[in-house]
Amino acid sequence: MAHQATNNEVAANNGVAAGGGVIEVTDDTFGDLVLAAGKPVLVDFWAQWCPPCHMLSPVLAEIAAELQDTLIIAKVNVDENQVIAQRYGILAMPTLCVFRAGEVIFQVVGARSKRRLLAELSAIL
Amino acid sequence: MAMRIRELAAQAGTSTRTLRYYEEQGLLPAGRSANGYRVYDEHHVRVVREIRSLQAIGFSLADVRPFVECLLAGHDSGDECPASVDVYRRKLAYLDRHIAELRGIRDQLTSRIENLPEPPPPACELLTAMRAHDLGSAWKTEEGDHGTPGN
Repeated sequence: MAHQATNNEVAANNGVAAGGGVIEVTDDTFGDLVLAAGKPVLVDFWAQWCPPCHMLSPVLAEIAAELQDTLIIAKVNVDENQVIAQRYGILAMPTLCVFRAGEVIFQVVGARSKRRLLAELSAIL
Repeated sequence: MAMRIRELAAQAGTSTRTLRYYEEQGLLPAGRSANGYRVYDEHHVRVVREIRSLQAIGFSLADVRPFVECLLAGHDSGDECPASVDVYRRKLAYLDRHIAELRGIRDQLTSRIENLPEPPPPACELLTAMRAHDLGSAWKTEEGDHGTPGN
């Protein structure tokens, strides 16, 4: 029951984490937090054993804070959430997907610099 | 406190040959003893040290001359005279030109680094990871042989 309350509570806030941070999303919460979100969501599909994912981590944290009014940034651990990872055909990490109104509008693979990612995002947001 | 050329060379940290050269250039006027030897005192030591320290920072003898003349005229330091300050100003202008040049090079380098094409973004291929763990044969053993060996 507590789990459900948390989902609804977060969903009511459109899934925005306090302070513009990166939110954790699972197979269970993907529908509410990503597909039903009121803003575009950048989903980072990552794995613990993948060094480029760790390179990207601080970049995403900074962008989450800077763009908190226009974009939600979420992370999905592919090892722990194989239903969602398979549904979107994730074969390499990190894969970044931008969702808007439940649809994937942008997808890239690989760690990139903050400068480059901001440029890519500004072209689609 | 009269000393001969060898002692001056020792005190000033240089050679007698160098001291004779300075004298030729008019930078080190020496007195002469009764039997014709050059004689020097502590003022000469001061002058030679001034020449050497200015040369050490790249001043030519032409640059050094006003400083020596300033000392020989009785000033406490060689840069108290207008002619010495002129040398300083020339050095300053040279530095300003070089700083501007170096800034230009720095800006170009910075700009080039920022505009270099980015290398392909590093990523971890899931299939490569599976292959590395030799999951292919592990699956076959578990589920039975579905394909030809090696496929």
